[in-house]
Amino acid sequence: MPRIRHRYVFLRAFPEDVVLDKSDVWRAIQSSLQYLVGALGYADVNPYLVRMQKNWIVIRCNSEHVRKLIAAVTLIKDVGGKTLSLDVLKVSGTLRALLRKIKH
Amino acid sequence: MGKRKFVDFWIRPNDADALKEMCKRAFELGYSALVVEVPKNMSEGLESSFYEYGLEFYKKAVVSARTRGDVLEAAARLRHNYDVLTVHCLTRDAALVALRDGRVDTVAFRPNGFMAFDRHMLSVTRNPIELTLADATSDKATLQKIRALVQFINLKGLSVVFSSCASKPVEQKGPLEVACLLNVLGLNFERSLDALSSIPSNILARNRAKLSGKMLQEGVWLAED
Repeated sequence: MPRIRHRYVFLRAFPEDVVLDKSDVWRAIQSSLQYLVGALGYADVNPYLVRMQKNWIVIRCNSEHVRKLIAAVTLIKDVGGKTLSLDVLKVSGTLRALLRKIKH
Repeated sequence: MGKRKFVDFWIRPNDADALKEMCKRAFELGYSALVVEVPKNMSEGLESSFYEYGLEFYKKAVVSARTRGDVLEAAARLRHNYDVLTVHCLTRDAALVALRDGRVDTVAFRPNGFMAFDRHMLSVTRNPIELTLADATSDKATLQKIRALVQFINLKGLSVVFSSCASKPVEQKGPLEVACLLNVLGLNFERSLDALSSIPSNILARNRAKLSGKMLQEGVWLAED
């Protein structure tokens, strides 16, 4: 069985002063992904919330389907009743490289 | 190949403050030009917001057309006053004229108007089709219609422009995100990037040259000394 390659996607909320709730964000991403690509597409993308701070999130997904995840994030208009936009700042193959790029 | 220059081909701010915020956000997202549908109450002093962030500023007129006459009248009246002329077609008749008229830059297909394509329209199409992110995020039925159109565009090799149609900064999205959405809807990824960069840039360059008198007619340029 071939090794599964991942991509780590760094998302930041806009406006920046908004404070996100982990369960709300995860629910918004899951529902948007299922709305766009369905249950089978969701299984292909295989998203996983890796890390979250005040207004940023790191999501891991299958590397071949990272565009589906980004497209689903694009469709999100509100999270937990707050109108906001989740911007994709960086995409990387490892978490360490992603965080290093973000620090730079 | 050089770095792509991304253009948000349609924003419609409600006031000068919103425009300033949208300029800042567009700059942060990586756009280098914005095409603004300017409201009637704010026609002056707009350029300063753009210069502050190093963005190019273009004015756009959007006309809703129900008949053939509406399209022709709008093209004659507005062509020389705006950088971009977009026709939003409410009927098939209007769409047929708008798709082939050389004075029209893009033809917007939106859910509150005519949103289908047939063989005859395909045979006369000369202008790019414009789709918007605001419509794609509005509801499921519209997203399905946009998907059908995008797949048809990809199949027939038509020219497409994708814009945000945002009225607030929170509605603006980065070029990568929009290109990924178009790709998931069925357009080749390279063509998705073209829909945000080279196709709108070419329209803007051509129209600026025409308005400044450097281009006399399609393909006829004045030689510089």
